[in-house]
Amino acid sequence: MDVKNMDILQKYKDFFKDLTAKNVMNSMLIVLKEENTFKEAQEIMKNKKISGIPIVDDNYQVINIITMEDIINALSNNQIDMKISVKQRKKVVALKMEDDFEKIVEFLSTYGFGRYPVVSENNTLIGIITKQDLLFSVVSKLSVLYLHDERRKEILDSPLSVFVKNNINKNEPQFCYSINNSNVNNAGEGSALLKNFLKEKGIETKLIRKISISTYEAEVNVVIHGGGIGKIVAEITDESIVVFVEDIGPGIESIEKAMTAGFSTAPEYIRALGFGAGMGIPNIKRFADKLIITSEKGNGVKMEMIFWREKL
Amino acid sequence: MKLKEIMELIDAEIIVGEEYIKEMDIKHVGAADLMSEVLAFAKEDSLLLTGLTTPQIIRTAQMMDLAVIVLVRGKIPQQDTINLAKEVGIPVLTTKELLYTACGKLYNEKLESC
Repeated sequence: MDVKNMDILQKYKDFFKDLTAKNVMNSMLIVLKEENTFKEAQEIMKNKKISGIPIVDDNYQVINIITMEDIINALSNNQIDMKISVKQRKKVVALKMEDDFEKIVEFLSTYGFGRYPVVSENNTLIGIITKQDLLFSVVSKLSVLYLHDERRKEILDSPLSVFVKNNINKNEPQFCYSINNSNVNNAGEGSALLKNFLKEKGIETKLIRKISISTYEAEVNVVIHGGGIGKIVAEITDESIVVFVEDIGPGIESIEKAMTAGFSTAPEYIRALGFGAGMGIPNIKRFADKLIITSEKGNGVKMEMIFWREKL
Repeated sequence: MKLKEIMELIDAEIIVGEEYIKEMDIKHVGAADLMSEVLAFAKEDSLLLTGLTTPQIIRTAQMMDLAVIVLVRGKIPQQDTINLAKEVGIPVLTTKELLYTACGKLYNEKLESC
């Protein structure tokens, strides 16, 4: 996302105005203190695949940021085993949590840094925003925007795929199950088979549980709402497990509503079977690390769930 | 708490899975008639009290790694539920107690929520 793209985002600032820094930021924070060494920073960057780490004091105030460039400099100056405190403190450019989309875009195009800490009212660090975080928020918002629009289809196949590092070959997946079932009593076979498949592949038990629950909710949705015809596709990579569940049913009228706990369009007889409580998608959101739903009225639902694997 | 003791406490009978329950130890209990509520449970190896008897209780238990299902109000599940329970190895019990009473008795024994 270069400055030119930022101009485009600027034009749509009204549409994105609810994307405040607090909503955009990644709150899975990795921080270091000045007592840590450059070497430690280097290790974390390598393992977590990140290019910068905020340095905080005992009160969680950001006092510096260490980047890949600092590591390279430390290496060439033989300072790699030294404490980060040798690096001169500088004023860190930070966003406030209530800063709006316009402000975030302005920051990104003005400063050109890789990451921006987000701080609370009393200046403690609460999150971080990278260009990737902003991109993801924009795309998530767009999938709602394009709900009834043909262009929306492209979201699942192109730009997102780059974003989620999704190298799945949908034609030859590692796991594929065809859902063909309109009886809710039989729903769950695909998820059960996926569970066994993941067990055979030696995936961590905790992760299997999260995946099974999410896939099961999605499979039940296909049977209850999606006309019962669809498929479950899964792929294991070194970093993640990606599960697609799609159907060719009537589509979701409003994704925003479907994401709301307690909202359901399920008929009474489905509720009597213990489903239709409006918890399905919120449950999936809880267990999946990333969830992308695209839908269009009359054209089915595609759900992509991503589960990060723990570093071994 | 040993499942055997729980069974005595709420006077439960085994419908499926006698072979699994002998040494089973239960720490967490949940009660729900909505499968999506169950799917929001946090803990595995829990005991589930429910009034539902459809095969979905078995699927849900399988996905959640639940230990055992106890049906309340003396319900006996339909045959496809029993078949699926056998197939996936989830024990199913039944008690004549009401859901509320069964919960109360187990809660009294300091069994934690799941």
